[in-house]
Amino acid sequence: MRLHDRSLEAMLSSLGQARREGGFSGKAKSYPWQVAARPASGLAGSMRWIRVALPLAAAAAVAVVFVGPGLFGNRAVQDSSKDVLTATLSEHREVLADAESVTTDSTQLECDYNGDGVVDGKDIQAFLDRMQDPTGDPLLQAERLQRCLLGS
Amino acid sequence: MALPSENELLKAVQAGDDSAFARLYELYQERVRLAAWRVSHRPDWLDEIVNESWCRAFAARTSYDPARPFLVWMAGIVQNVYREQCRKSPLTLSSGMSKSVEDLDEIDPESVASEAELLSALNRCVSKLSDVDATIVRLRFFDDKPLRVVAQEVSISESTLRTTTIPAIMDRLRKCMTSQGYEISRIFSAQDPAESQ
Repeated sequence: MRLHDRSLEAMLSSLGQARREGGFSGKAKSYPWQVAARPASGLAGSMRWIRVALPLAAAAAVAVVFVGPGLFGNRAVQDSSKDVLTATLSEHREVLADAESVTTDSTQLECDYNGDGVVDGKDIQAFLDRMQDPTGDPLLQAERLQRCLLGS
Repeated sequence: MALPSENELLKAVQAGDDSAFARLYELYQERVRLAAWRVSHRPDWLDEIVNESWCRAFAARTSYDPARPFLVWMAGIVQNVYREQCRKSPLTLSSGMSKSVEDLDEIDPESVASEAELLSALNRCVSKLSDVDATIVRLRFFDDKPLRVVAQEVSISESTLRTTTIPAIMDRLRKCMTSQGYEISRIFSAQDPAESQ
């Protein structure tokens, strides 16, 4: 190829501009067409967050059911909360099944609000009673109970 | 076993050979990126344009005509991808940094491909220079520094730089380009017209 119209100087200037503007870059780790043709694995990767989000959503629903009535004392809220819990539990039964059973280690004993040595649903009323304590942070306490009930 | 020649690769690509296409990607990715840069001058779009162009080329690999230079074919795809990108984001063209679609229509894929080839070859030649020579090229031509500044940076007198060092570097680059099949016909002058007055 014979280059009549461009001096070497101008070409070097273009080369410098190309370098500055990303015209040269490191090698890609994979071929673009392979990356684009990975919907299955990409989907699996993108769905990974659900494994975290679903238990959190379920825990939040449980918290709403148990804490909501105590906070609002409204029957309509209680009914709707039960519906939310039922729907959440039925939809994510498998996810919740993965949750470990409640144990009675020292952390769990802190959640034993009624002092019967077991962390179970009976602690909820005791927890709600404790919520009347104006010095405690109700949100933090609700979060703790939620963790206890889910065994996480 | 000897590696297949480029012609064999091109024929294999046309026959739908995925591994041949991957090999061509290795050979051409730098030049295709340069073609994308030449077409768009959009650093922020480059990755997307290049990746999309390769994806489209892969999808259309069996329709590739081996008689046509591969880079020219790729440059045509790059231009189409860039046009579509411009239509999707028309407002970004007002930045003045990029090439407009009208400008693009005046450039044929052959020109884009030949410029990409040229820049790639020149880049290879620059990378073969010694460290000092490469620094001089970088400061003087890439960063557009005055000769005085370059002379200070490399501790060579300005007059030596002008009359001896830079012409010698240019000669080496010219020979290197010639060895790769590119003949630089215009005689280079290291002296900036403004500086010579």
